[in-house]
Amino acid sequence: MQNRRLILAKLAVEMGAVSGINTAIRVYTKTFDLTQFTQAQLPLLAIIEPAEETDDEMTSQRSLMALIAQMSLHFLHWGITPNATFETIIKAIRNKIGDDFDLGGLITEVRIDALSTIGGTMPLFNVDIDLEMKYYLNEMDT
Amino acid sequence: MPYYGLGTKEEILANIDTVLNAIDGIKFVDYQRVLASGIGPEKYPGSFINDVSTDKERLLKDLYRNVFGCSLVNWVWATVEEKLATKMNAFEVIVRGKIMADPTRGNKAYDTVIENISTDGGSRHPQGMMIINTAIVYYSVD
Repeated sequence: MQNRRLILAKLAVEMGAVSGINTAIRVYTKTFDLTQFTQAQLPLLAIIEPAEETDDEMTSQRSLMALIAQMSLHFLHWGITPNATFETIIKAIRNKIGDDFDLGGLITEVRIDALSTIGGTMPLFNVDIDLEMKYYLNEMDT
Repeated sequence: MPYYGLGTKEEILANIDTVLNAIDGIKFVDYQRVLASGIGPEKYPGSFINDVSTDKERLLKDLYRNVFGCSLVNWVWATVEEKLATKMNAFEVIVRGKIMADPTRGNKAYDTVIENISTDGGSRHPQGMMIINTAIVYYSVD
């Protein structure tokens, strides 16, 4: 029995510990002000405040909730094709999620739903990662 | 080859100065001038490097994308035996070729684009003037 507040806080901590990511933040919209960050703070992973829906109504006011989060990764690459940098970071994120797919027991599953193509131009690139998480919510507690 | 573009306007101007001074037969290179007033025929052909404009776009707190407008005012002098148009055209080919030989300005710019070239159409015979307008894209930390 958990809630989104704990899950998103834990996700930010876990993503901040991914090898190669220097900053993990939570933002409300995808169009946050990236110009407030320095080169040293990149790669930066922004966890955008997710949508949430009931995946399954259960007995005793319990529900299985689906939390659909999008993460936006911003990174520097001083070359035309950032494939190597991109692959290294994405692999590290995948490994981190694979190592702890229940986020320390907070959720029942987390998986990468979709990965966008690389956007941006040299030297600032970005990529979107869609995450799907499921957790049990006790509606009597909320 | 790593494709960098991080530099300063001063480094880019210094590169252009070096490139122009290395042109075989050029007699005079100066900054921020348009008219060749007071310059005798012995100092032709010559080139004036003009810092015209800079458009800055903030990408990060310490990273900017700049479009630097730089005008090269070039002068030739035709003797009685020489045809001014031929001499001017030949000088234009040389200057343009040298400037575009390394559009990265010694790895200090992302790209150099020649936006337009105009001449005085022979109205100052035996002097001939042409302007090469360039746009130089570079990244900077401030």
